[in-house]
Amino acid sequence: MKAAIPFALQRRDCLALGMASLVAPLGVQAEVLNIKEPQLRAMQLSPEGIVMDLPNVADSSASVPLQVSILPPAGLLVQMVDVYVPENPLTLALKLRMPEALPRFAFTTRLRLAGSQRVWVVASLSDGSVRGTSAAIEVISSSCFDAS
Amino acid sequence: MAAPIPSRLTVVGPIRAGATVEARWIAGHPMETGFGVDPNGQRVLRNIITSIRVTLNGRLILEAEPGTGISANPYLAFSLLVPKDGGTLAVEWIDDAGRRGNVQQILLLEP
Repeated sequence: MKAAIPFALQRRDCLALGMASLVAPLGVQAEVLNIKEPQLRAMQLSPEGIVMDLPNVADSSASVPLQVSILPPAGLLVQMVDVYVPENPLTLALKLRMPEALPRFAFTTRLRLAGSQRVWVVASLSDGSVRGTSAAIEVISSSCFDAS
Repeated sequence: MAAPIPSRLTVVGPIRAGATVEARWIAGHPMETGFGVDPNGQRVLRNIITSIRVTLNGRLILEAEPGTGISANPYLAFSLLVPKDGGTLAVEWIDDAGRRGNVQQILLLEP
């Protein structure tokens, strides 16, 4: 069984995230900082209203189905959804933006994973709050990401 | 000239005003991550679909930016509220190589 990744957020990570948050939304930060598991955990996101369906185990990580449904609290709308795969070389797998925010949103896609990991879904709501949840998947055969 | 990217857009569910349906888009694209090598040991250049734009009756309703964590033959299904008069759902995309494509589906209201 894969060991849990310990909480290891460093002061410089906090400073970098703080600085980035002044100038860019979460998705842009992710592209710049390549957000990893400790940073996602440190955000202490509420999972309320997010339902994520990811298989517990996959024979191949080349194409793993992910289904997500987001139902924010009454009065709030979904503006943006990010999917993170923290053990991949580039961790932002998918960014979705709704130019006209929605009272509910559901989507399905297929991920390519570098290996066993927790997959994260982070939703930005119309009041500026961010919610998120994650699920673990064990991969038997991993996608080849690196020639080394 | 590079071959066009095959793709398909389908809408599943009752096409009735105000109903929620599921739009399903898939494209035949290798989504090369740029991390792999060919049989000769040469690194394969990254070529993924970088932008997907979904419009409903000409209005932008969804923008997607897939990364290297999206599988080959990318698939995106999403919930959609059918407008009162139906209309046209369109998906367009572009990849790293500059190849573009688009596909449409008419939302013809059920009687």
